Amino acid sequence: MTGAAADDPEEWRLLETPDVPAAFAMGLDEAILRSVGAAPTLRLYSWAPEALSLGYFQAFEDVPAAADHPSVVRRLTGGGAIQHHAGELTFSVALDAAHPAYGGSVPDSYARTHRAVARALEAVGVPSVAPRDDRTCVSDLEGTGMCFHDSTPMDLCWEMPGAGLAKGVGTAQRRTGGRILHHGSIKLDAAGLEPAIAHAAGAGASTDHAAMSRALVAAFEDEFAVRLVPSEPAPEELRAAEELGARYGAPEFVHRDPRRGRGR
Amino acid sequence: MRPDDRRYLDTHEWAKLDGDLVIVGITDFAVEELSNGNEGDLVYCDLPDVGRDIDQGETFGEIESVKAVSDLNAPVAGEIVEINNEIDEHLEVLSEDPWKKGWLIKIKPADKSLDHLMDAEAYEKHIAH
Repeated sequence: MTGAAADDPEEWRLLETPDVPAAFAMGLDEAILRSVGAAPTLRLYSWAPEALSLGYFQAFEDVPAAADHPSVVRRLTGGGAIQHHAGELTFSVALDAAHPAYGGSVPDSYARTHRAVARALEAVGVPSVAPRDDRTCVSDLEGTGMCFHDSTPMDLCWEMPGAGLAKGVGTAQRRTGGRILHHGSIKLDAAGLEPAIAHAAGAGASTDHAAMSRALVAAFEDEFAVRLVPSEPAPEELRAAEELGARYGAPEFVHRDPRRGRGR
Repeated sequence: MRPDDRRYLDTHEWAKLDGDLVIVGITDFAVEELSNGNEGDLVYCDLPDVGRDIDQGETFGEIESVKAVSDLNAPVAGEIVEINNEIDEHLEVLSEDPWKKGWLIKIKPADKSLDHLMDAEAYEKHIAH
């Protein structure tokens, strides 16, 4: 039996689950979030069929695109709505809140994650990916309720030729039970519900999911000094994902509005 | 040093005995962790209905900042008898005065003891590492 050397990188789980239905996608993230004691996990996934996810506290009525969308779920994480289409790659990170990788303030953990995502985007050919800081985004649009139409200084942006600086990565966190779930959405190509946003194709870069996934794995390994081990969700996580997933698309959850529903 | 007239949870809620009630809020550290010093980054706080019974450690509400949704956990078991309606319209009081004006809920506790919680000194050590 050989022991790991002291300077071996920590091993994180890498779960790649392409083309999953919306409710299962959200259920599996919650199942992994609840996997206390599991190794930190990076999950890469896409959605089939295409779906629209609302932020945890968003009112359904505040997202006009949701009204006619056939597949709407509500995320466990906050922020605005996101269109999950063929030109989008979603990632999630789940780990203990006490883990040094996400230690410090919420913005600190964003900065580290965004460094990795920016490096991955640049590796597939998107030039000059950086936080917006105090610049202005042409993708900021009123009244859509979409995440990519509302930027903050931390959000990753790049120049869209002929249009200007736009937001191309959406992120949000959930902190519960001593655990953290960090959601991210990376736009590789354009889609109809999110006009004016940045995407890899618009910057002349690859839209290939596999290439972006490989770049993300390399960038996370580098940023967090870890080794990502290709893995499968544990059987109990898959079982929990089915059970937990049911509520994400349920009408009472999708249409809830805690901001207006307390009667106060 | 944080106020020593109350006790603390490791999840950054505080609990203060006030007669027969326990007043609950979140610490300045929690506010700073969520907002990084920018009070506008706190966007919403979901508080429970008055009359709800809660267990010690149970999630009684959620707070959303620009970038994270976090649980609010009950320091004691009991009945929620009052919530701070000011929070709904003026979330900035959490940044301005988390110790007094920024209280969140009042609980009529099943047991008034707060001995299971950290005192200010222990909480300072908790957040220092």
